[in-house]
Amino acid sequence: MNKDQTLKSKKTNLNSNLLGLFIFMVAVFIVMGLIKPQTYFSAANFQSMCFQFPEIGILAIGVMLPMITGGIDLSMVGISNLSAIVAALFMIHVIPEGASEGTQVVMVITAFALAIVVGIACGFFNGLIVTKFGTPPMIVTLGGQYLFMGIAIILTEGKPQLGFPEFFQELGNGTIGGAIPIPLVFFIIVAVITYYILQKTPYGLKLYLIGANQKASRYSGLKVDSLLRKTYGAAGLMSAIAGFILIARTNQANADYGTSYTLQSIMIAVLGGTNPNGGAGTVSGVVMAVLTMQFISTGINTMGLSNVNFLRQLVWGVALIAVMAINYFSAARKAKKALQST
Amino acid sequence: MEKSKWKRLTEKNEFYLFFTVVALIVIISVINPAFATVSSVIDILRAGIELAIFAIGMFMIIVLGGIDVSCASIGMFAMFTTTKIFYEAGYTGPLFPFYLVAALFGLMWGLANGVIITSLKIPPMIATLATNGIMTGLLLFFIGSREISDVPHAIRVENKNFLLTVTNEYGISSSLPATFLVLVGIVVVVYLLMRFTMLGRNIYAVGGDETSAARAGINVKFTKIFTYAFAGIIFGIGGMVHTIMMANSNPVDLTGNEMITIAAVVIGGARLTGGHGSIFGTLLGVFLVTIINNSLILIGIPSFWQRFVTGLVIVVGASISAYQALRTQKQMNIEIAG
Repeated sequence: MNKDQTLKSKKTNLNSNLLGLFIFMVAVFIVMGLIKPQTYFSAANFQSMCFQFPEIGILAIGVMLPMITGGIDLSMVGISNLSAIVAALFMIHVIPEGASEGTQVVMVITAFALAIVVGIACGFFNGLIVTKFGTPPMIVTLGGQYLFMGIAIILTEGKPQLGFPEFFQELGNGTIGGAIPIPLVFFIIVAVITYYILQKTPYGLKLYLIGANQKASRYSGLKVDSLLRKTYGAAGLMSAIAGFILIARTNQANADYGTSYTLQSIMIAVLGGTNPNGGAGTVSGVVMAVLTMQFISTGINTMGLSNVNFLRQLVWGVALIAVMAINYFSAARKAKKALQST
Repeated sequence: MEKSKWKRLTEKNEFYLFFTVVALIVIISVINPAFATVSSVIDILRAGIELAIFAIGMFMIIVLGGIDVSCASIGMFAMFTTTKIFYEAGYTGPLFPFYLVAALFGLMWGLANGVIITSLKIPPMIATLATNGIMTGLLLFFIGSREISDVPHAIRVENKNFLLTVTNEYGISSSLPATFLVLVGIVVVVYLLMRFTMLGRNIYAVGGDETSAARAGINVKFTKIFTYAFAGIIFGIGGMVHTIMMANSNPVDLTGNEMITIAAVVIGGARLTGGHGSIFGTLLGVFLVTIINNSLILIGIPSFWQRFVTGLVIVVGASISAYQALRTQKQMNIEIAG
């Protein structure tokens, strides 16, 4: 097999995985809809779904980046909360009482910028420790989760932060033209930019190379350390965006909000075809996984049983193992075929 | 090149960790003499029992080169299901069956983890993430989500069963519960297993280099399944200990504990890449985490600093050992090249 063919077969392989994911998503959508069609297939339901998934979706896209390089980020929720707290403290203490609408907008934008700077700094810190000391990413970001959440607790003394400008709450609860939720817009922007960076820029290609074989990419002259630092920084950036939307939606900032999101976002990334050992992962896959999750959640909720939230975790766990099993067996079958054809 | 005993000692993480812990104890005692008393030692031991049990199970898995983020869920599943079974049956007998049934539930989930990881070749973190969801889902949806505070008689009796009680000058008494013996038992068994049996050495070998271990004739698959299953038993017992010490079984009590468990083991010098680690180090790691969580307040550091300090210890501790490994490797490269 020559090189062109290998590349081609890799690409069709990827497309067939995405196609599988797409069929799975549509199937879940229909099955969940059949539980209670009148409630499920309504505009109001679709809108509420679009308010719910952007935060976890952005976190999942964020955690995918270090996973493509063969690392992981367990500190995303910690970064989210810390940057959200910094933005919240700024808005609460700096915006003067009765400020004009214009000042409010400027202040909220400044708070957003502040959150982003904090997020990137935290992510960069993770990357720095990983590259300077060779500490495994899992443990660096586990410690990072404690550190960042710890700083947030120290800043707030563990109290929730309230009292944002009204305009700000619109960002989390408002819609554009009465139909498109603003958080969804954030999600789409993040997804599109990440897609572009991964598929169309040299940086994206290098990221996959590092994940496929770090040693080889080092020897072939890639600046692996600097690339890794940027990647963790990017994950931090996305955490900050997710955190910002979160406080806009809930109208308060907490140091320890959403700790279960950490493992959930990793689960979504893996379901979306991200290889936890590095080298593979696509935005479209993760987006489909996020939507699938949301369909399952909403569908289960329409059942109206008590404790139904717990059932969701069960379904997700089973889905994760099922996807990994399908991947494993299809890879094994392909390897067998390849062996026979030579 | 023959290395002196001293040099070999100073290369060990446990060595530095030990002095860190001692230094911390000295500093806290100097600032607040109330810390250097028998009763506060007992308090720390008591507070560390549960974490220590979970950490020892996790230690075995990390030495194997794996990870288990479902450990807390295994513990919760085992303790709550066991308590519920005996509670509904109106059981009034002795305590031992509780431990036995909890250990069996732990074994069941540990086996599931091991089999899934080895047969589907899923990275341990992802596999246990999935089983974690399955376990909590099954537990909270099908078995129950409301805590049982009216626990069976045997648990209430054991809750009040103390090995020794010390009353300090202020009239506050500290007691060492009998569950401490469970910890001691687990420590002894795992120490003997890891140190003196073929199986234990195989766990280190598989964690060090799986391919070499397989070529040396070690049954890698069996070793892995055994380790997850054995650790599962320990987690199950750990969960039961929690219920006994609380005299209450709440199916969401241990949520999130998996992270601090992993952290304690890593602080104790075990490497996430596998093959390295000792029980002594793990216990020191647990001790350090427990002191941070319970005693910082004694020297005037407000309690909301706990999380930050824990994070600092994790990052610094893990980075020191990783950096040492990096340096040794570089040195080896030079020696080979030279």
